[in-house]
Amino acid sequence: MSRQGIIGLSLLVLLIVCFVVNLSVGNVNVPISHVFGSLIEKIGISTDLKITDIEYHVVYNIRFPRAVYSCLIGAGLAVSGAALQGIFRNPLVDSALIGISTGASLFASLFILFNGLVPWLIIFNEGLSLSIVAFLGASIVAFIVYRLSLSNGEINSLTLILAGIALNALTASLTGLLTFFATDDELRDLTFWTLGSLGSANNDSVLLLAVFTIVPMSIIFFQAKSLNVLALGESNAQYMGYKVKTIKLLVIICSTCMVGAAVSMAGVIGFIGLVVPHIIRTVSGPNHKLLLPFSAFFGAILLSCADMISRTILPPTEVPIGIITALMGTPVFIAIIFKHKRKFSV
Amino acid sequence: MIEAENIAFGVKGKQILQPVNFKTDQEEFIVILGPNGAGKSTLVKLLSNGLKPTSGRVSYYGKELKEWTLDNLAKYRAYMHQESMIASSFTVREVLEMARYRYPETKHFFNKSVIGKIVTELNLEALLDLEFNFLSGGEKQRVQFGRVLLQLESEGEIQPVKYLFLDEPLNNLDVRYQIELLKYARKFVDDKRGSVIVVMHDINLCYQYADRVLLMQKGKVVMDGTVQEVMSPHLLSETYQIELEQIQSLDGEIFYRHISYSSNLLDVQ
Repeated sequence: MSRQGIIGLSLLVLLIVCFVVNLSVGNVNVPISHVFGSLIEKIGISTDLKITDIEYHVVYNIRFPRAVYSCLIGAGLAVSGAALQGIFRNPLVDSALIGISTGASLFASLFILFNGLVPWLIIFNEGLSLSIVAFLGASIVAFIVYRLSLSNGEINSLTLILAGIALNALTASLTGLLTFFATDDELRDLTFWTLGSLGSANNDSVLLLAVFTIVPMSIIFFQAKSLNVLALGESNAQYMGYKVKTIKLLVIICSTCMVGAAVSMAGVIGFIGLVVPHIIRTVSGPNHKLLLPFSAFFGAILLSCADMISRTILPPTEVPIGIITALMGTPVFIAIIFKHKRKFSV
Repeated sequence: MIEAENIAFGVKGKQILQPVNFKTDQEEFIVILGPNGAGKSTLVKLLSNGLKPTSGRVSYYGKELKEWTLDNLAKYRAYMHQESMIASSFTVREVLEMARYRYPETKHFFNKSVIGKIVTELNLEALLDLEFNFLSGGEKQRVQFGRVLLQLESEGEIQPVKYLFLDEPLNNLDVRYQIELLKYARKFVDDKRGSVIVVMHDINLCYQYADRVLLMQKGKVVMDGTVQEVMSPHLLSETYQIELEQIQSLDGEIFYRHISYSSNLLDVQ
């Protein structure tokens, strides 16, 4: 088997292991056999394992959607990071930098503070409405950043990053202003949200998240070759027959969908999008045909592990997952900066 | 066939290229000569669809550029940039393969064989597995030259004239590879694979390899014609604002050199 095949297979196995362990550990320990048992019984095959109702409830209704959440969100964040780094030919870009995450935060904060005043904002239930508003915020801020970066109808990558930084500062300060006016209860909601949590996962919204992650992700996978060619520079890609403008727009829209959905359901989870593609590049090389799927796997693995840690490190409370990813991601990020510093100073 | 009618280009009210007419309808080696800032690169970019002219129009094989899809045009003309730096740690092999992405996977065998052919012809075997960004400037140029050649390769007996645009391809190359690149480009024309349109500065090499020369100055084409017509020492001296003379070696080869005091002294003997 080729080297790439081995890497892919081991990532897949690791993902399955993480997924199953994630279903098993927590405040209520469920043996692995019972984890499988309850999933099998769910699809209608009876087993002779004596699975209690509590175990069944914990595995299927609480942990299963949550484990799927961590896989989808981790994969979505990682793929969007890899693709955005590809179109901007800049290793330090991720979805946070072009305003998607902070836009969602701002709108979510607005919602948390004002949903009592404006009852019609709550369309379905409070959780889902929050998600919709946050998604809207992500799209609006991403769109403003995109509009600001247009010059003569073309996306100027440098302007886009600068506009992203500017809007990030603005939205962050507005969110800060909102926390200043928030009551203690609202403040707790807000902080929990800006630090990220998979606690809201349930079987109803899993499907929605799956659609918003898998469809744009597949579209991005089909752009793998274009992303490779973009490494030669936009002008060269154009000369080689690629519609650079369309590719960039497509990747930005798909990333906004994936990250917007992720942030709106689970709050801001940093560093996955930035760090995962870098780690994968060191093993698979820069070819996006491998980089994108491998990043998806590894992002899912990393967020599953982070979730496992966040649920088990301080029982019975839960540490916000954004803190865990930042704690895991920062050392890696610093290592990347050092590596590049050495490379560029040669 | 490329036909350009009155193409001009300007930014922010500053006219960079005055209206130019240009036509080529056979395989030929065209060199664009001229002092720095004469508009050579701009002209090449306008002809190759890298820039849109502010007025006038360009057509390929009788069809205007705006009616072409980028994808289709890429099979008939390729362009090599002055500078080449890539964003990721792709290897030389991967960079070369990118030129064949646009061709269907069903042609996998053909793709492989043309890559093999170009690699051998350009002497790139030793570089294949190295990271592109770690190559020297000259090696990068040779790989990029291979990549643009690969972009134009296609199957079939009868091919239309294809166009290879090279913007200062000799930058960073040592003497051997300067000559080899030009020889290869010359052979590309002689084998009827297509036309080569080059921006370069070396007037001696230009004299040896070109069929046709466009001499430019201050955004205008001063003269467009055969090497013998355009490259008179008088016209060159006037355009470059430096005194140049033509000398003939014993075996009849023509050279250009700057007339300086030291050379005058040598001539006096």
